Amino acid sequence: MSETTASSALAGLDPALNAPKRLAIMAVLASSSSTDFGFLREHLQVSDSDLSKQTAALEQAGYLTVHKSGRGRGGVTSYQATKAGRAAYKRHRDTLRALLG
Amino acid sequence: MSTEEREALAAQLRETERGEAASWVTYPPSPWWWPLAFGAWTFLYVLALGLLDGVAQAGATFPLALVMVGVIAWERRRRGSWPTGRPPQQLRRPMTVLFAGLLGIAGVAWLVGETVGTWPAAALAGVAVAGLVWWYGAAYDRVATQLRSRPA
Repeated sequence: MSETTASSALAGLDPALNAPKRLAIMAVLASSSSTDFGFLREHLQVSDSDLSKQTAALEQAGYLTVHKSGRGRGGVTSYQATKAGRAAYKRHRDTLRALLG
Repeated sequence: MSTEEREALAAQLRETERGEAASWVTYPPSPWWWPLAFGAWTFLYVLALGLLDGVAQAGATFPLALVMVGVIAWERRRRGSWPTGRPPQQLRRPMTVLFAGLLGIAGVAWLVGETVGTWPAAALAGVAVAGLVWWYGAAYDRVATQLRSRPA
């Protein structure tokens, strides 16, 4: 791939998804109808506060929605990718594939 | 693009593949009685279809359908993530065998019900479904274990 083509392809990478943990979160959410907090924490092997920070950033970008059900110990927080989030993730992944040939 | 940049992008791509497979291959173990429960459910369902008619049949099959909806809801909550879209290539074989097997069992059970009787048809369908669910669980677990152990 030439330098010019590579730079234009790099422009297709989403800055919000360049952080590995955020990309991993969106990869899980893009292939699930709904995923809960515990599942994501185990998959990413991160602390509760770190995961909350990453999901808050993605929520602010409009890439996921948060749903809370129940209260206290039995309460569950789950996440769903938005249409925009799925599209951004797909674009980012396709760009990675194109760049790596 | 430098070698370091290329390696960083390759790591991102591997992370997307691992993440996309996660919902399919990460789940708590199924209870040991899972195949027996599906077999018992099938037995009762075939009996209800074969022995009852009209309102009585609806009165029996509706609660059974509700039980199945409840089981699916419980399983969704237990797994923590419910996969959608295309499953990983390696999981398609056991899934295809499961769906083809269920169709085959339905066909044979109908035939036995018409020619021999409802009770033998229900027993046959129940045992066959229990066996198929047991096989599916084991086959799915084998593939999921392989996929989980792939390097990130």
